[in-house]
Amino acid sequence: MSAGDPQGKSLVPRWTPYAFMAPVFFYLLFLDFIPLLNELYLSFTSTSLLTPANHIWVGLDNYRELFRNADFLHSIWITAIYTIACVVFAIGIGLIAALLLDAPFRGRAVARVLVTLPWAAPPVAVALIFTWIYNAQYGVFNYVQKLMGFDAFENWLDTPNRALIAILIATIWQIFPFSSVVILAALQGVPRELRESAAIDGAGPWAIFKAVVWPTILPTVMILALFVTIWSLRRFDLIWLLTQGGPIGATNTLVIDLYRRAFVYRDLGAGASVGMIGLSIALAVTMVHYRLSRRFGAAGA
Amino acid sequence: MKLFPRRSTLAAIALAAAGLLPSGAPIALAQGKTTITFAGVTFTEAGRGDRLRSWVDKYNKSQDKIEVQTIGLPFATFANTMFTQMGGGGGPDIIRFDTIDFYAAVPAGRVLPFDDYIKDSDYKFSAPNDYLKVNGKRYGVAFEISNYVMMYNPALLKDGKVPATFDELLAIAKSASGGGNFGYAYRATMAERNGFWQDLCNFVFGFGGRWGDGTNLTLNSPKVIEGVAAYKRMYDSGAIPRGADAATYRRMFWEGKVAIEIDNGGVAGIFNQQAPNLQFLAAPSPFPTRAQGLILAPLTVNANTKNKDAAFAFVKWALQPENQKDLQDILGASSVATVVPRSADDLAKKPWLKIYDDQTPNAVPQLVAGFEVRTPELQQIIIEQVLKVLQGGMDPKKAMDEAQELAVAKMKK
Repeated sequence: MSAGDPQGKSLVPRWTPYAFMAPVFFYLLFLDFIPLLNELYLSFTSTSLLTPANHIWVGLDNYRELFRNADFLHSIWITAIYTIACVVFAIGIGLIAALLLDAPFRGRAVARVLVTLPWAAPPVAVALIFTWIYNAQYGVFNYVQKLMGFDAFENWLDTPNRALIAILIATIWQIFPFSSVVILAALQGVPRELRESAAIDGAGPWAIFKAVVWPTILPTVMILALFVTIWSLRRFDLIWLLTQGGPIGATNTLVIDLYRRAFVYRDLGAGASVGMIGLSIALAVTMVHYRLSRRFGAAGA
Repeated sequence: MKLFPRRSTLAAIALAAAGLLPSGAPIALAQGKTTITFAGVTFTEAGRGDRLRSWVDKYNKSQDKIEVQTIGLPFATFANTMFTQMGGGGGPDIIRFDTIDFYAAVPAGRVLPFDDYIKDSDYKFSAPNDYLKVNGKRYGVAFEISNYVMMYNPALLKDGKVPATFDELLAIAKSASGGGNFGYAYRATMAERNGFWQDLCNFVFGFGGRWGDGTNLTLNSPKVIEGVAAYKRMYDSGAIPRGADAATYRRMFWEGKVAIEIDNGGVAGIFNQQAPNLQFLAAPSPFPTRAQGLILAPLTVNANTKNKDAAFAFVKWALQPENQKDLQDILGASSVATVVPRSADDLAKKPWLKIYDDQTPNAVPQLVAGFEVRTPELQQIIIEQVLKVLQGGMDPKKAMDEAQELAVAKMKK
């Protein structure tokens, strides 16, 4: 029943909900929806960054051009590898860290803070740190390899078959703490009684994890996977600062490709078409996520 | 009760509208001065930036009608920021561009022609200023002209021998390496794409190669291939700090850990200011020809400016002989739009100045002749192919043949 005066007339004007919704509506309309429509339109045009008001309608030419271009197809492949590796390792390492931090031990509070630090570091600082870590002459990375008896490698960021691994190490180092903190929060929601009764029934740690812990934290892990996937698809700063997509396209993800086309080659039309393909991939991932969530939800019920 | 009284609502709308005004709109100060803006990368540089701002302040103190405000932006984002603002109808009134961006801005109508305000016959412009004319019209004057020559730390050269050929450079660089020192330094990473391009141009131009002949691309001409092969020989020599960025190896140079590098006059000026006790010298780059790259940074006026007269008044002031001399002194071994002789005292204290000045007739812009506007796309292709030579061991001829094929196909689009 809504609030009202004794005569049954509402004290809250009818337009109040609209007034509350208006800021969000206009925010989404002007800062998301209209720019997105504009980008969609741009992707069907030939438009220079220098003369953005002059569009030449080219239909599907930008898209045709992209799918005929081996370098662009390679960038989709690199994006897929990068994204999958980020999701698997950031969540995997985050889960292990969360399980360790969930167990009681002396100095646990300090350990939790230390694990969170990389997430708090700005990407520019992380890029600078890793540039020095990988430096062939002075970097810790090569120094440790030499200590371990390996031949020191070249600067990994400059080596085509190692640059992506180097970028992944830097990325995962920065993002796994977020997974860890989120999973740790979910672990707090696992009922202690369930764990204890499973243990009384003779279940070992692995069996308890599989039967009690995992099903409880799975919805959180799935949401986390969606976030990490979308963030990885659109991660720009760290990759651009470390390699600019090189060497020889080894770390050229979709977002780097978009930036290069739009701002280095100054071709807004081609850049927009890469953006629309990236957006389609992100939408597809989101749809798959919700389908899977529904299926798991139904199975759980 | 009205939640939002009409008067305050209108005031809020007016304030919001003021915030949405285009950035190019004229700003009138309380004192009745017209304020114009001047953007450049150089205002962010250590040492030179503050001195350049003082140079602009000198203009401001001499004026009661116009005030110039400086805007410093980092090199990596400068051109994109400018073009994005200009594309939106705004941007600073005066812009110090790099040549590559100047050649993109002119055909797009983003900068104003100078002909109504600046007559060539009134000034003693140096030869590189001719590169700033497009179809016979002048669209800028040089703010900074910086040549490339070889700089060396004499203390690190065994027997004090200065290389005069590329083979000597290679041998001397190797002999100067070891014990934490390196014989030579240059850029060869994608993370420093623009710097890599500048260093590569020096090798290719030095061996007599050019990326284009004005009509056709010549990426696989024998002289270009010789330059690329030389770049590879240096890469494999063990004499370079691989992976070190320019900021790092330049610091190593002034700390006496790098023996030789080929760098521009702006860098020589920075070394002189940052490390006044450093006893470095310069010599022509040791290649078969004297041709080397050229940094030509033009002063341009934004076509969106609402203060055309004020902007050109500043450009005219900048071209006056005493202000050109002050500017040249700030810029180190670089020179300015007009010919300004160095003082005998300066030449005695900084013997490397003359080597830089003498290089001017052999300086070539780091552009692809005939394809200036599309140089960024060609640069990407060339650098990726050269990386295949450096890191993938690809034969230089094969790599540059592929580069030519890819570039020709790209230019047809």
